[in-house]
Amino acid sequence: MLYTADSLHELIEEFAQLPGIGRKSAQRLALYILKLPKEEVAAMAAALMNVKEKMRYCTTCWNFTETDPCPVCSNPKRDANIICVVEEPNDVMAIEKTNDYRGHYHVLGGALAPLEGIGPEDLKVKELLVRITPEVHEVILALNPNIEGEATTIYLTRLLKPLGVDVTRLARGIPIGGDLEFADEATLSRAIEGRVAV
Amino acid sequence: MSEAVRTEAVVLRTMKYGETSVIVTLYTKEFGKVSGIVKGARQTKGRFGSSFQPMAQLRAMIYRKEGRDLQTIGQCDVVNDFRHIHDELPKMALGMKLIELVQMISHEEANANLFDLLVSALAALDVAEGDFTLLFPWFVVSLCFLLGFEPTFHECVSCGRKKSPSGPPASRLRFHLERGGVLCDECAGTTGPALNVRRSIIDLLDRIAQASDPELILALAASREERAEMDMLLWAYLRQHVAGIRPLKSEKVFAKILPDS
Repeated sequence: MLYTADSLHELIEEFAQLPGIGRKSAQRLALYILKLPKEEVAAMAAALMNVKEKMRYCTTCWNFTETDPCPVCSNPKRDANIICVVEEPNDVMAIEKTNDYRGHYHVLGGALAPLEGIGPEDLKVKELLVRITPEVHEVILALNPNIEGEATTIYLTRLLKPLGVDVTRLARGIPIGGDLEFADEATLSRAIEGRVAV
Repeated sequence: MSEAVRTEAVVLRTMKYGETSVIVTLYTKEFGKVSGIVKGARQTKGRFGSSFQPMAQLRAMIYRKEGRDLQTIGQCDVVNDFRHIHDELPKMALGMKLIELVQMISHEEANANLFDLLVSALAALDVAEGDFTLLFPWFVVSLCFLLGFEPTFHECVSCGRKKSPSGPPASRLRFHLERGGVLCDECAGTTGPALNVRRSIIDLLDRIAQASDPELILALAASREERAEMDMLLWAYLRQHVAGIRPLKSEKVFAKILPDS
């Protein structure tokens, strides 16, 4: 038996579909929306529609964008001869926040996940290989440091090296602010393996 | 009533949950297959580090409640992360086959021998150099023994006589899937599901079945065709005796990534 009005119930159902949002959170969100002024709700609805209508994939780097090519790919001040390969658009945002990287990106749309049945045909691998022209001198593999990221890194390295491009990967080790004492053995081992001269 | 228990476990699968947590499926020594939620597992400075990578052997604290599908997993210490398996795609392929198979056939009931078998196979794979592909048939034959339907390769499963006198390796022997073993020439007409298998495969499986230690398997070798025929026989045998056997997702993906293996 429904104790709420149909429209509220519908809204709760919609929120509950979102990742990480359970029924209680969905209910809290729906009740919050009820209390907002109509104009703010209209603005929120418009923003939702706007993002679906305007956002698309950049057909060069496969990041989300409103324009194709995206602002990174079309920026002449960025170095088009270095490509940083990431799993998801969030990773592009994370790297851009550093303000340190000035090359281009390639978003794979995930990583190889054999246990889930996700193979190379489910990722933008062919699209990456097509971008490796003689001008491209480095591909940075910035994938997550887990088994899926490792499998993808090894696989892409095997495909990229014969194309004559330098293939590099992000350093792995102790995070800034972390304690050696609390680092796990795998992280510490990798950090020791990847040590550099000072 | 909830209880806090400590057990050894191997990570079979992980799934992201929310912003920082994971749902992990473990094969534990004390409780069989257990699924649980690990809050904060994905935080960069979190206390879990690399604990929840597939194939890692852990000592896990589980807060168990009877009847609950998803337990809560607390502090874990890594016993062995088998990190060398992560260094090469062929090793990853075999390691994932092992854990995917265990995930498929295991239940929420303890089988300490199965746990030990899985750990010893992963440990052998971790340090293996050279050809390690026969670890998989060794694992499957050992698994069949643990589950109570060990196949027979050295004598007729129907009459008990030694299998047919030696012939050319390419000559074929009949393997009865239901009865679980080879048939001699006289019993070869026995009705029931059966496969004709090359003698060389049966002889190799016989040697594999007799190896108690996976490290002995590393000294054996088989061609790609022999491994394919062995796999075909073992999968048919598993399907005959275990409900719910399906093709492995990881095997299908690695067939595309490693087409020459």
